[in-house]
Amino acid sequence: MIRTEEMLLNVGPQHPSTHGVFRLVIKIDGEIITEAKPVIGYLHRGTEKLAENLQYTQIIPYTDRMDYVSAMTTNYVFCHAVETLAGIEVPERAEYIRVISMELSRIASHLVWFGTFLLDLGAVSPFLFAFREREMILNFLNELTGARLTFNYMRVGGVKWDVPEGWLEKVKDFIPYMREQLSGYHNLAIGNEIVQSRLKGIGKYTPKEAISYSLSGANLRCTGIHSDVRKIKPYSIYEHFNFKEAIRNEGDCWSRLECRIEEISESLNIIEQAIEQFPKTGEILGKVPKIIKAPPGETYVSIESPRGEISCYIASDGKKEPYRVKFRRPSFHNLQILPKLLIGQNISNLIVILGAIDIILGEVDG
Amino acid sequence: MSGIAKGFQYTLNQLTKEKVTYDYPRKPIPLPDRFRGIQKFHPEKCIVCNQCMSICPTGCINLTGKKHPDPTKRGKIIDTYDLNFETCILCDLCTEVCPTGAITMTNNFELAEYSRDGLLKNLQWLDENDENIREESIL
Amino acid sequence: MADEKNIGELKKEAAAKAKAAALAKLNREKEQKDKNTVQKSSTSGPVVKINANVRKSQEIKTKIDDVENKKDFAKEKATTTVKANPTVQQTKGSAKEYKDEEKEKAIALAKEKVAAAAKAKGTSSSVAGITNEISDKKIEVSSVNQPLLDLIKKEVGNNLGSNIIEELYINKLSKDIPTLIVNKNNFYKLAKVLKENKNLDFDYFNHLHGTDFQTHMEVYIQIRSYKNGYDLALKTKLNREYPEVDSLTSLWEGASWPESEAFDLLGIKFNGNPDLHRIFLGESWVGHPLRKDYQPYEEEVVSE
Repeated sequence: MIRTEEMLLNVGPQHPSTHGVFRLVIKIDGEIITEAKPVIGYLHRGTEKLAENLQYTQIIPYTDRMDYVSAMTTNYVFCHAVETLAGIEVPERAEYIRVISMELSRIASHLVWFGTFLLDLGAVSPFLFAFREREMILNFLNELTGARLTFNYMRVGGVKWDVPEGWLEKVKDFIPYMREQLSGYHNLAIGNEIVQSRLKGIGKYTPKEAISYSLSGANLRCTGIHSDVRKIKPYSIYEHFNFKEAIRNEGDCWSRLECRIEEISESLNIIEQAIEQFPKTGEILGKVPKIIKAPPGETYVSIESPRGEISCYIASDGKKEPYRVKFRRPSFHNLQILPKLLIGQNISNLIVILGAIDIILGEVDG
Repeated sequence: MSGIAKGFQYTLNQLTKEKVTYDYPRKPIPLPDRFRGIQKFHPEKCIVCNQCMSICPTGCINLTGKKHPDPTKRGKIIDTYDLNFETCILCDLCTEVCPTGAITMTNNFELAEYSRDGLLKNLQWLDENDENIREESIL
Repeated sequence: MADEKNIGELKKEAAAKAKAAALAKLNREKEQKDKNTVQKSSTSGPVVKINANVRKSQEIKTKIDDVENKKDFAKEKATTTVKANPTVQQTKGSAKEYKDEEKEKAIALAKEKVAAAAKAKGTSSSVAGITNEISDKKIEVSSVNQPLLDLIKKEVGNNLGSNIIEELYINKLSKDIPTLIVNKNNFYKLAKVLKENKNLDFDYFNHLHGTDFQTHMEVYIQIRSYKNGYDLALKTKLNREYPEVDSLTSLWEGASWPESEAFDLLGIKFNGNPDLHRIFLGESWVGHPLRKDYQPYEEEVVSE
């Protein structure tokens, strides 16, 4: 019998596959993980504290920096919360622009995840291809908003810019191209036996565990629970579109990959329909006073971000600054299950399990 | 093993495709008109309304005005205008609130300096930053 | 900071005002009830209609706010505070009125009330008190989530007695979410019932956060039942100096980190959480930044 000794190993905070500054202290017995403790907070910037001294419009740029891979959804959840609280109507055209930009953002986010996740597995070329397509989306968003990542595009009551001339046509042309690329990805990596054998059955949990750990997004839907906020509590104009909720039943890393890939194609469907229904004329900003004051009270709204259910709580005392702002950040909640998943696993599966959760550290730390 | 063969086929097919990478430092990167780069300041348009200073979420703008030198005219003109690019996040809110368009974005984005003090830009520097100015405005 | 009125006070004010309004309303309704025959209508019909009405009145409200923003700020404030928790008193009032009656009867009455309200709305035509009129309407309008609220009341009443819930209302500003306020000593007990009751089955822990309201601390949680499609907000008030409450980690494992977050940033202690630690700032940090009176230990770095 070979005697093994327990060893303490620090993964991160500057480990490339943690996708940010995330530290994981693990104890390993041979190659088997016996204990895992995530350490977070390296990127805590105190957005909630900063927001207490800022006007509603001024908070929007800060929300960009929470989930910096799909800033559009974080932008939206904050604006949506203020609109709900103050009872501001958003013009339909603005809602269409918002949905198109959010779904583009979602695709870009899933592409980053897809590329980096396979990079973690050791497959280098899918990363390059995924980023090629993402670059096209970022160029669209750059053209629309003037920035590639930190958009600061949504405003309370609408959006900042109208769509530029010819932009919708370009996005429309992108849809069939992206569909073709998705089947290309399938040939390249998703259909590959090595990738599949590396992911199937790894990091498995039951629906009950998923619910108990407050998972959301693809992490919850991979266990067969219908939890897409766009479907169960429709917001914005998502009721106008016909799309499927990506559901799998296995609950392992492979099903999470499948869920996200399906979400990309569903997002393409939504964009296609949105461009078809796009109102030709109309306002892009509702009737909003120059200095927004929300009535005293509190509100809590949820939307579906690429990583799961993102929500915003605002308590207002009637001033132009909010009294308290709080975000439910899906990555933060999703990461909680990690120690449980890691115990008993081989160390080579650590990065796979961590990658499949899809965390963004800016969001974990707030 | 067919998966690996398919993968190789996909990769080989890409060889004939057009290059997608940028030749950036040698060739300037193409940017859309709306791109939010370093601000350009027009001192002659400024009416010292202080709106950009108060909307700035990071408080990186500092400005002072002085009385109009022509006694027949009312109002103020700009005296100093300092923008601290250590904290500026190029969020574009200052250009959004400006009633006269005295501050606009440009497509220039290269800001590297050897010292942090170099990132504090004054009125003259911002005035001279007059290339690739954004044409579209939401006024 | 000195003149800042905190939300707690505002709420109290609002509650008092709305209570008076609701009582007046109830009396009026009683009179009307005698006159009107019972109007039979499907549940969905009037609710949808009423919702449209809420929308409309909100629209009007914002318009008025725009115009009168500066003119009579005080008045606006008063009306909006009433708007903030309009159904509290409705439910409270109805609880008093129909305490011994059957539940079905109560629902029928509620329906009737809505019908009467709709009628009253149509007839009233005073232009002068338009803002008051709108706020009156707000109190009457029933919500789509009213049946859920009644169900929760019934189930909690059966399990823990009806006195356990301090306040129970529908938060119109938060997409009509039923909200419960409970004493901190009963917080865990109530959460356990909400989770384990077969008819409610709130198995998903959505969110937890704390807020410093200067007079007290508040812990706000939101839970969901994916099986039934219910959402519920639960709040409890804590002493500001020694904020302590029972941890919910034994019910929902997912509550652990959010509790640590509230502990770190506000200093709320969750008794029974095995892994309560300063999750973001580290154990050596002094003070709790999200408290309103927080003084930074170190001055921030300023480059001038």
